Amino acid sequence: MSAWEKLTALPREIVLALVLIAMIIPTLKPLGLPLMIGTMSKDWYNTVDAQPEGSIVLFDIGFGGGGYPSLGPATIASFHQFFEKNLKLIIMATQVEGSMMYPLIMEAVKPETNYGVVYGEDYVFIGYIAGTQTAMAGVLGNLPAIVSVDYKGTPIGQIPLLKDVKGADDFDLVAYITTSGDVSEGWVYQAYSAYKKDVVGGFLSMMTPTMKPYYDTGQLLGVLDGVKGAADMEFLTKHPGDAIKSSDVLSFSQTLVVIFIIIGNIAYFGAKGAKREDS
Amino acid sequence: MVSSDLAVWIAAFYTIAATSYAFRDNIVFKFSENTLIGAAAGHLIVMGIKNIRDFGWSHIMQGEIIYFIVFILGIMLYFRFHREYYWLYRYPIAFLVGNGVGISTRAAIHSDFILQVDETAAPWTAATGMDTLDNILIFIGCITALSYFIFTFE
Amino acid sequence: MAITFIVGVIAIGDYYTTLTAVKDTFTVIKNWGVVLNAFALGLGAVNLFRVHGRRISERKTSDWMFSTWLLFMLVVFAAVGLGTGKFETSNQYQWIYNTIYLPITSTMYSSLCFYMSYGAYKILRARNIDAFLLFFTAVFVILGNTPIFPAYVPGFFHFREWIFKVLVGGGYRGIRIGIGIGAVVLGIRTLLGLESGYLGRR
Repeated sequence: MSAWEKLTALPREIVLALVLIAMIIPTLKPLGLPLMIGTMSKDWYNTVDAQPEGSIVLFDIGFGGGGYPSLGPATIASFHQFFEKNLKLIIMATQVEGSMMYPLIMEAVKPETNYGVVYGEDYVFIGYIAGTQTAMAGVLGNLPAIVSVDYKGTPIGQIPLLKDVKGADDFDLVAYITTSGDVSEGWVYQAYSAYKKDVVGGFLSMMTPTMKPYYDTGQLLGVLDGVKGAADMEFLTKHPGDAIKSSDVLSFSQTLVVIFIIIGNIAYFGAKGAKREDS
Repeated sequence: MVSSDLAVWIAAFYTIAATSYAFRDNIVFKFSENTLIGAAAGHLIVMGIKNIRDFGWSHIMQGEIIYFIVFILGIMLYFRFHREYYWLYRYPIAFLVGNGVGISTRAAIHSDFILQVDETAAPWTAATGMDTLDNILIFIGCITALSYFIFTFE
Repeated sequence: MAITFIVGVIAIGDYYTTLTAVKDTFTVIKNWGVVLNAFALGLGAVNLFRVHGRRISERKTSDWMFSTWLLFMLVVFAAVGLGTGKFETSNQYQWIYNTIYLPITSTMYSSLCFYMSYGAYKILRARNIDAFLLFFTAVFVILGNTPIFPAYVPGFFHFREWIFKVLVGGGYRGIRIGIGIGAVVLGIRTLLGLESGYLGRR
């Protein structure tokens, strides 16, 4: 095997070990590399910023433990903006693990301590509702008919925020952050098409191309895509967190991936040239 | 420096176990994988029962006896696994499919077809030459992607 | 199939009409749908018991020990969640979820980066014109996405935005239209009873 051929077929263990090292170094010693804010993240921020004080936002935690490392920081940064703007939040979960993400997010945001808000008056969590689009259509169509208690079992009649909320007409904005394509499309179908609400959506970076047509046609007014979107949001809301710390990890690891891709191509053409010379 | 919290050690063990697959399949990874599947199924049971209580049983407690029909339909779902009465599960499935298809199809026409075609069929000319070129390229991209869906017969 | 048709037509009627009777009926259907979906969540667990129970009783391979552990974890999570009466809001359930489930699931999702890195190294080779286009686009999207490059050369960021806006936006719009038409046609065929695959065969 020639040197070129060896370079085209580097063992998996070596590539993965180097990627792992490239991730560990900036984690142990953050470098604070600069960040450039994307248009889609800016649009999310501006859409929420334009909401008058006291507006009601329906927020869906549509991810679980798997999506928490990349979407958790985006959710935390969004909640900081919602509470800073004195917006009212009705939080729900269309993914079965969403209700387990809620306490983690609230632990990070600390809304009572940081913003003086009160559960039940300024924000409420109605828990996981099975059925994805059925749940969305149910909450938007007639919330009191479908939801009788909140996350902890308190009847909604005893929750001041939910007393006058009947359905879509009472929501000013629908926001969701999810790892699921069904949830992502579902909110566009139900909130935008069926009930004509303003919608902003966050999802994994790999889902951005499939959801881009909705952003281009104005069905999504803003998008947070993956860790990059989360880092943008943390920067815009001035609440640096895990996503900005991860930006250094992204920089290192993706640079290494690009280097490997270039090495692979140089080695491929080198091996091809060497074979041609031999023949 | 070293944590004395048991939760941290268990979490660290499972994190390393799950990562170990990147190098090769091994017994530790299989252990973490089976832990995950079992835990996920357990979590589904917990959330399922909670939803049945909050969205089904609460209505029955409010006097809406008709919700007993939903409970019967729900139990019929589990006849999927019965050798003889397998066919009973088709009724709740038919309900679920009709509900799901109706809810998603009604808005898909507007979101996925009308608005997309409207945006594509818009005039190409824009404020700048670059934007005009972009609009032309988007149109070409859309048409060429759509051509994938044309099935030809020979 | 009559059930599918009636329920589906009411759902569509709720969107296209303003009749109170249709809207009220659809509200009930939605509530029933939520409860039925909740019942459906347990189907996976029942199937796991069947499959892994068989593996444990037959003991044909050494995997039966893993099957035992799987069912044990299932029972532990279900017991802790249901036992306290507070379901997932109980401190005990949150402890086992955050200690056992969360690290594994977040690591498994995150490990995708390793497979993608190696996959990118092996696959993104400019062997022909199609592969070259794939290589070129992938490299410039990675360069535009990596925070460090656009910070010093903003052109990478703008080029990545252009790729997403024009190339990706145009191509995916066509795919989205195709998916939309396909989904609507399949939906109508299902409601009319022309597609009965969902009812299963025996």
